Parts: sequence; structure tokens; C-alpha cells
Amino acid sequence: MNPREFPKRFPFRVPEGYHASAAAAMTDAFMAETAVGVRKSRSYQMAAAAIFTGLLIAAAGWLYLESASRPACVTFACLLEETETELLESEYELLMEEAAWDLELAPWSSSDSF
Amino acid sequence: MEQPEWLFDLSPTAPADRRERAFRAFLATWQQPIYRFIRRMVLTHEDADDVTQETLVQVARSVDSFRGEAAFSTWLYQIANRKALDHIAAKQRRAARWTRWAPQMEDRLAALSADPHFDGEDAERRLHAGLACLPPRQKQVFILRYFEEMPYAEMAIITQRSEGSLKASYHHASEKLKKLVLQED
Repeated sequence: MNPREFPKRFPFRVPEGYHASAAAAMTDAFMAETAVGVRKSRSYQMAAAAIFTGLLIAAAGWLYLESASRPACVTFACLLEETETELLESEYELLMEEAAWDLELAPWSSSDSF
Repeated sequence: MEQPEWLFDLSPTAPADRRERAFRAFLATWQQPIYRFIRRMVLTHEDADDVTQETLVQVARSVDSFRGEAAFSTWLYQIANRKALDHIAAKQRRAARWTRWAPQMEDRLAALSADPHFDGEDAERRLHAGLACLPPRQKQVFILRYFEEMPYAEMAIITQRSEGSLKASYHHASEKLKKLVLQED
């Protein structure tokens, strides 16, 4: 038998109505995924926009309060003093935080130990 | 390269109604040819159904990654071909876990005789049983060349192989098939 003589017909059947029902199932799967995708991306976009706006408002408020509470530094000495004060303040905050931590960890600070 | 009208409406950026229309048009053109190609590769209706649905939905979802350098049909056959080969390999791995698996002509003939969805004559039964016994890559080359009548240049894109190696594979596949089909006479 020459390979050119092999029968070319498609000898397989499909269950009745198969192609139509498979097409409907695939369309549903395709469109459902799309809808979920669109919903997801829209809600992500809205959440990102809300966070960005919140950050923007907070930054603007902080800048406003900062500028209102302090006179602007115009000399190097003033800037230096301000930096030192900030450093001292942050060091103080750290010390206080550590002390609070020690207090919480101390056995006598826990209500269970009484 | 000219592409079908509905192709770009499949994109996730297209409005939902146009996307649905495009998907239906895509299925109207390609569902049956791809099912037939995959059915010849995987043989049973249940397997062909799974692989066809997976292929068509995946192609439609990833249409944005289609660069348009080749014909859309070439890209579609490339994905269908890969899915079918993956399916055959996974099935072989599962079967080989329990036995030393190699498809035998007699088993395939018996399976086709028992298949309620096969309505071929004896020559067709022997041809498709023989095809099922070929190594998957030879089977793929034979199906693309003989049944789909595809030029070697397009087959080279689909299978990512050189035309020379495809011609050699087609020759080997034809010779093996000839033996397997005549073996029954």
C-alpha cells in the first residue's frame, strides 16, 4: 500500500450536539474569566487611587503643619540646630520605646504573674 | 500578514459584547478543524474534547501575545500541537507508572473497534490504530502533512524543527504506517 492511498476521510463521530454545547461552554468560560478580570482590575485601580489620594492629602497636611509651627531656617547654624534637635528627639523616642518594651517584657508587668 | 477581522476584538481591552462576538466567530471558523486535528492526535473523543477546549480558550485569552509575524492559523496550530503532545506525554507518564507502556497495534485496533464514536472502515481503523502506535512527533508530522496538507515551511514554524528533519520524519512515519497497516492483511 502506497502512503498516498491511505484513506483521508475523518472517521470519527462526535456525540450529537457536541460542537454546539462545547462552544457554549467555552464561550461561558472565556467571558466569565474576562468579567472577573475586568472586575478585579477595576477594584485594584480604585483601591490604588484611594490610597494615592490619601497619601497625597496626608503629605500636604504634614507639610502645612510643619511650615506653620516653625520659622523657616535661613542660616546654616539654624539648620544645624534643627537637625540636632531632631536627632535628640528621635533618640529620646527610641529610648522611651525601649523602656516601654522592657516594661512589657518584665515578668511583674504581666497580669498572669500576679 | 493579513489576519482575521475578529482577531483583535478578542483582546481583553475590547468591549465585552464585541469580545463575545469575536470569540463566537473564532469558534465558528476553528472549533471543528482544531477538534479534528487534536482527535487524530489523541484518538479518543474525551481527550480531544479536553485538549480542544483548553487550546481554544487559551488562544483567545492570550491573543495579545500574538505578534502577527506568521498567520494566525499557524500560531493556533502551534499551540494545539503543543497541547496535544503534552497531553500524550502526560498520559504516557501516568500509564508508565504501572506498566512498561508502549502502544501495541492489537490494543489500538481493539480500542477502536470498541469505540462507539468510530465509524470508519477497516482500512481507516488500521490506519488510525497504526498512527496511535507511532512516536508522538512522527504522528504529529504525518497528521500535519498528510491530513492537514500543510507545507513543510509552515510545519517548521509549528513544530520548531527544520524542514529537512520534518521530511525525514514524514518518510519514517509513512514507512512504519505502511508496515503496521499491511501487518493485518
